[in-house]
Amino acid sequence: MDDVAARLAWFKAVILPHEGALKARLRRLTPPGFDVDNLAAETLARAYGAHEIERVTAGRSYLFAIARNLLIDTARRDAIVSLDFVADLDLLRADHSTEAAITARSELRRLQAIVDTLPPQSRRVFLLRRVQEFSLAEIAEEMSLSVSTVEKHLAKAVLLVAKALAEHEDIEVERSTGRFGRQAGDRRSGLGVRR
Amino acid sequence: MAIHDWIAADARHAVAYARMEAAWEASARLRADPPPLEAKSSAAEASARTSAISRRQAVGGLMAASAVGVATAAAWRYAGRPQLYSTRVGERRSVLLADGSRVELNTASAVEVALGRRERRVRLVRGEALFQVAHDKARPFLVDAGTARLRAVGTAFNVRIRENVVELTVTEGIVAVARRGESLAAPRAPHILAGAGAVIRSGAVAPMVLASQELQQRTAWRDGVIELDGETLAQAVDEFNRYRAQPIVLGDERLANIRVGGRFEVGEADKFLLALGSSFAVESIRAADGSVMLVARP
Repeated sequence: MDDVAARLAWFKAVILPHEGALKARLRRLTPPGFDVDNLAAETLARAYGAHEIERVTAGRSYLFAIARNLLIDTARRDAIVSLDFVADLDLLRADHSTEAAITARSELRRLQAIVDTLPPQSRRVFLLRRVQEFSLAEIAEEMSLSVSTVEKHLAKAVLLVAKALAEHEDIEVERSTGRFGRQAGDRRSGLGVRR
Repeated sequence: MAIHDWIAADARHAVAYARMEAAWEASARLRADPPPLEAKSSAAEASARTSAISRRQAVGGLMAASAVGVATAAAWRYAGRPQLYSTRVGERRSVLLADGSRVELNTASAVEVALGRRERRVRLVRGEALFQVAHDKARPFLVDAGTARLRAVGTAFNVRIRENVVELTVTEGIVAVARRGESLAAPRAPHILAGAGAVIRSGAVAPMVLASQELQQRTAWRDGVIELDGETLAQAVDEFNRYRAQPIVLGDERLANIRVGGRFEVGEADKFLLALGSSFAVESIRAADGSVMLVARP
C-alpha cells in the first residue's frame, strides 16, 4: 500500500507534468488520424510501471524514450518503411529542452481558465471545496443538495480539470519543436507507404 | 483497501487516478487568486471560450466516456483522501465533517481528516482541537495526536499538543487511550470519562480528575477566551503568545513565577499587560517588530 502511494507520488511529480508535452510532440510526429491519445496513454501506463522509480528523475526524457520505442514497435508491426519517420523518431530520443519548469503564476492562470469551462454546479462545488475550504456537508447545506450529489459534482469537476491539465502543452515545447512542424507534410506522405 | 487493489490491477487505472490527484493538488493554487463562484456568462466570452474548449471536449469527452474515466472518478470519491483543515495564528475555525461530526480548531492548528467506510481517522497535526463526534458504532472515530492514540464513540473532547505532552480533556462520553505497545482495543486501555482528562506521552497515560473550573478553563478558547487562575506569568505569556504573531517575552526570569488570574479575550494581550502593570512591578517595553518585553520595574 505504501509502495502504491510512493509510486503515485513519484508519478505525479516526475512523469505527469510532461504528459502535455508528450502529446504535443507526438501530434507533430505522427500522421493525421493517428491515435495519439492511445499511444500517450500506453506510454504513461508503461512509465508508471518503471522498475526503479528512484532512478527516473528526468521525466520528460524518460517518457519520450518510451514513446519512441512504442512507435518503433508500431512501425515494425505495420511494416512501415519510411526512413523519414524513423529519422524523426530520433527527435523523441534527443530531447534537450529543459525539463518543464512551469511557474506557479502560469499554472494559476491555466487553472483559472480551466475553471471557467466547468459546468456551473460543478464549478461552484469545486471552488467552495477547494478555495473556500468548505466541507462537503457545508456545501450540501449551502447549495441545498445531498452530500452524495455534491460529491458527484466535485468528482466531475476534478475529472474535467484533470483532463484539461493533461491537454496542456507548455509554451517552451511549442517553441523548441516548431521547426519539426514544418516538416510534417513530408513525413506524413512517407508514413503511408507499406510493404 | 479496495481502492488500492483497483489501482494495482491496471497501470491505466493508476495513471487516471494520479491525474485526478494531481489536479486536486494543483487546484489549491487557486486560493492565491480565486475565480468568482459564478462564471461570467456574457455571450462574447462564451463564444471566445467555446473554441478553446472544443478540442479539449473532443478529447476529454472520449476519455470521460471511457470506463476508466468514470471508475476513476468513483474511486477517487471513495478513496478517503485526507482533508487538511488548518488555522493561522490568531484564527479559530469550526468545521462540519461529512459524517456530522464537528471539529473546532484553535489558533495555529491543523487536522487531517479521512472518513473511511470502516473508521474515521483524524490526525491532529499541530495545535489544539475540540471534537464533537457524531455517533456511529460501525465507524469508530480515531484520533492521532503526537504520540497519543485515542478512540471515541459519540463524545466530545479537547486535544492539545503541548511541547512535551498531549493533553486530553473529555467533556462528554468516553475516550479510550492506547497504552504503549497496545492497541486501542486492548481491554486494559485506559478509559477517560467525561469531566476527566489525561496527559499522554509515548504511550504513558496519566489520567486526572478535573474540577469544573479546570474543565471550563481548558475549553474557554472556544469562546475566544483565556482564563487564568493562579498560573505563573510564564504560563500566561505562553497562552497569549499562541495567538500572537510577535511574542511577549520575559526579559527577567525573576518574573516567571508571579501568579496571575483573570479572564481575557485571546486578542486582548494589551489589557492583560495593563492589568499586569497595575498589579505588579512589571513594565512592558514594546519593540519595533511588535513584540513585547516584560521587565521588573525598578
